[in-house]
Amino acid sequence: MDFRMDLVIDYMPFFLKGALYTIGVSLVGILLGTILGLLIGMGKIMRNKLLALPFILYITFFRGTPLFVQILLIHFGLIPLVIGQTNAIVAGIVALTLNAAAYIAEIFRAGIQSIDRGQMEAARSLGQTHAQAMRYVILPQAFKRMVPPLGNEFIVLLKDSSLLAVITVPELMYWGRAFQGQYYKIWEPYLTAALIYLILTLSMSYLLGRLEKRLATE
Amino acid sequence: MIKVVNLKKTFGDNEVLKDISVDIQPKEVVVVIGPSGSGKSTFLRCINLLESITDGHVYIEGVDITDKKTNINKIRTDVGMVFQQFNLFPHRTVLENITMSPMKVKKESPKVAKEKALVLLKKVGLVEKANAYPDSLSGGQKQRVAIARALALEPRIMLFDEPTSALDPEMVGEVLEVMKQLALEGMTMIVVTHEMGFAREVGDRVLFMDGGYIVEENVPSELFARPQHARTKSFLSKVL
Amino acid sequence: MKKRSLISLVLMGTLSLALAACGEEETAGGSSGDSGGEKEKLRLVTDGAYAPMEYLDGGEVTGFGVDFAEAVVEEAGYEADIEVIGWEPIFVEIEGKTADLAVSSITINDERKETYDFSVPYYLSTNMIMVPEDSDVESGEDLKGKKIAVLNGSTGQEAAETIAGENSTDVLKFADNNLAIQELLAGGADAVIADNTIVEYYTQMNPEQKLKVVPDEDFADEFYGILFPKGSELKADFDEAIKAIIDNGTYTEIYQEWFGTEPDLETLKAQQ
Repeated sequence: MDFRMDLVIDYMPFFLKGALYTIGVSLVGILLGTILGLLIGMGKIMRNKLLALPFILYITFFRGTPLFVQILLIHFGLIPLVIGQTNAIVAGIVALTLNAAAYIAEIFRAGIQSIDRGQMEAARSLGQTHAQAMRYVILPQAFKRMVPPLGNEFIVLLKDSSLLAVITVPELMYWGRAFQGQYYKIWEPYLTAALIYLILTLSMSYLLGRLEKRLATE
Repeated sequence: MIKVVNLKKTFGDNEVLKDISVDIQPKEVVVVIGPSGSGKSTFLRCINLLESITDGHVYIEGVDITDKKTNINKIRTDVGMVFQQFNLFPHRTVLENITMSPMKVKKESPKVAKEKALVLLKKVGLVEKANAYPDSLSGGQKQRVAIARALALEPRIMLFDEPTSALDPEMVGEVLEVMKQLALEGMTMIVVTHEMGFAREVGDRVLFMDGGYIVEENVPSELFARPQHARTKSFLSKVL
Repeated sequence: MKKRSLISLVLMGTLSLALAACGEEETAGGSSGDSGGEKEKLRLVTDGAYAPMEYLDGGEVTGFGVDFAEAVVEEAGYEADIEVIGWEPIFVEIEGKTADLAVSSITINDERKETYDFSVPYYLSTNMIMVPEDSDVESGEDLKGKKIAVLNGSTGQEAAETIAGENSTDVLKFADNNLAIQELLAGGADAVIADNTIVEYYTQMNPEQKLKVVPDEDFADEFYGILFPKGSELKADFDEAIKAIIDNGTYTEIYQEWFGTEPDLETLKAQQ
C-alpha cells in the first residue's frame, strides 16, 4: 500500500482545526445536554403521569431514532423553521444537545432511583419538603453516581459528533471526508481521523478514571 | 397527645391495617410488638404520614394530620423518627447530619444549630465523632447519631421503628440505653421492637398487633404474665 | 445515505485489498473472452444520487446515465448488473478491481487518469451556479465571501475553491448533491455549484422553490467518461460501442428522452 504521508502532513492543520471543533461541539453539547437532561429527567419522574408524558415522549424519540436522522431533521427542518435560515454549527450543537439530553435524563433518573428510599424518608421525617430532600440529600448523592455514566456519554458524544460531517460542520470527520474528496484517498484521511479520535477518547477515559478515583476516596 | 381513630391502610388489594384505634398520653412510652407482617411498622409510619392513610384519622395534639390542609412538614418536626436502617446521610458528616434540618427547616443559624448538635452528641456519647462520616461508624454509633439527629428538631414525640433489629447483638445495649434515658426525661415514645426486656422495663403500655389489628394491650407486667388471647400467648411463647 | 456509504467504504477498502491480487488475474483472463458464445457478465457500479443522471426512483435505479449504460453494454456485447453503491465507494471498488466499470457522471480529468482509465467522453457537461431567483449573483466572482454548497470531491467543488480558495470554510462539501441543494433551500448556503444537468433539472422540476441557474464562462466544459480500472481491457470495446451508439442515433434518442433537447454531438465528437 502506498501511504501518502506527505498529504497527511500537508492536511494536518485542517485535521487539528477539525479536532478543536470536535472537542468544542461535544463539550458544549454535553454541558447543555446535562442541564436539559436534568430538567427532563426531573420531568420524567414526576408523580403526575400526565405531566410526565411529554418528557417520556422526548426521551423515547431521541433514544429511539438514529442521531443521523435527528441531525438532518434539525439542520434542514428545525433550525430554518426557528431562525429563518440554517446554520451547520448551531444545528450541530442543537442536535448533540437534544440527543445527549435524552440519554442524560435517563442517567439522571437511574442515579436518583439508585439512592435508597430510606434517604428520602429520613429527610422527609425530619420535616424537609420534597424539594429540600432532593436538593440536600438525594441529588448530591445521585450526582456522584452519575459521574461515570456521564463521562461515558461524553465519549459517545465525541465519537457521534463525526456524524455532523454530513451537514458540513467543519469538525474532524468533515475534513477527513474533504481530504478523501480532494485526493481520492481512503487510508490517509480516515486512518488519521481515527487516530485523532482515539487520542481524544483515550485522554477522556484517563481523565475520567482519575476523577472517579478522587470521588471514590472523598 | 396522639389519637388514632379507625385507621385503615391498604397496599393495592392487601389490607395491612384493618381497624386501629389507640390513644397515647403525653410522656407515655408505648411499645408495639407482634409477628412480622402484623402491620407494626406501617402503623408507626402512618403516624407521621410516611405512608398515606387509606381511611380513618390520626390526631397529633388535636390536629388531624389526614386533613389535606394540615402542613405535614410542620407536624413532622414535632414527631421524630428513628429507622431500622439508620438512614444517615452518607455524604454529610455526623455533625452536618444533625444540623441540616434545623438549619434548612427551622432556619436556625449555623452557630446555634452546631451548639445544639454538640450537646446532643454529648448526650449520645459521640462528641468525638462529630466530624466523622457515617460510613466510619459502627451500627450502634450510627443509630445513636440517628437519634440525636431526630432530637435536634426538638420533637415532642419520638417514633422508633425496630431501632435495634439491624444491629450486632453487642451494640443493642448502647442504643437501648439512650432510648431509656430519653424515656426517663419524659419523651412521648412509640417503639416498635422485638426487645421484650426493653418493653418490660421501660414501656408504660404494650400493644400486641397481629393481622392488622391491635389484638391486646396492657401494662407490660400484666401482658407478659397473663396474656389473654391465644395469639398473644403463642407469640410470647416463641419470643420469650 | 452517508452511513451506508461509510460502511461500504470500510468494507470495500478491506475487500479491495484482500481481493486485489486474484481480481487482477480474473479480469485479465475474463475480458479477453471475445469468443462470441456466452456473454460476459460485468459488475457496473454507480452513485445513484444524481438525478436526472443516475438516481433511485422507488428503489429502481434510473436516469440518463442508466439508459446510456444499458445501451452501451449491449452494444459492446456484454451483460451487466447495475449496482448502486454511493459516490466514494466507486473509486475504491474500481481501483481495487472489485467492480469492472462505473457509469456515474464521472468527469474525465488528468488527476483521475493517473489512477484510472476512462472511455472516450460520452457526455458534455458544465458546472453552473444555482442561486435563489432574487439573488444578485451574476457570475462566479460574485460568490466571493459567500457560502457555496458543493458535492464533496466534485468538479463543482474545484470551481468553488477556485473562487473561495482551497479548503475554504465557505465551501460546504456534502456527501451528495441533494444535500447541497437542501442546504441552499434551508438558507445555510448562498449558492450551489454543480453540473448543469443537475441544477437545470432541479430548477425546472421545482419551480416553487424559485431558483435560477447562472452560468459562468470561466467554468470549463467537462466530459463524462466511463471509469475503468487502470489497464482494463474493456476500454477498447466500450470506446467502440460509445461511438457506435452515437453514430446510429441511439444516444440522441436517449438524450432527447431525458432532456428534451438535442445533444451537442459536435463538441462531444471533437473530444473523442
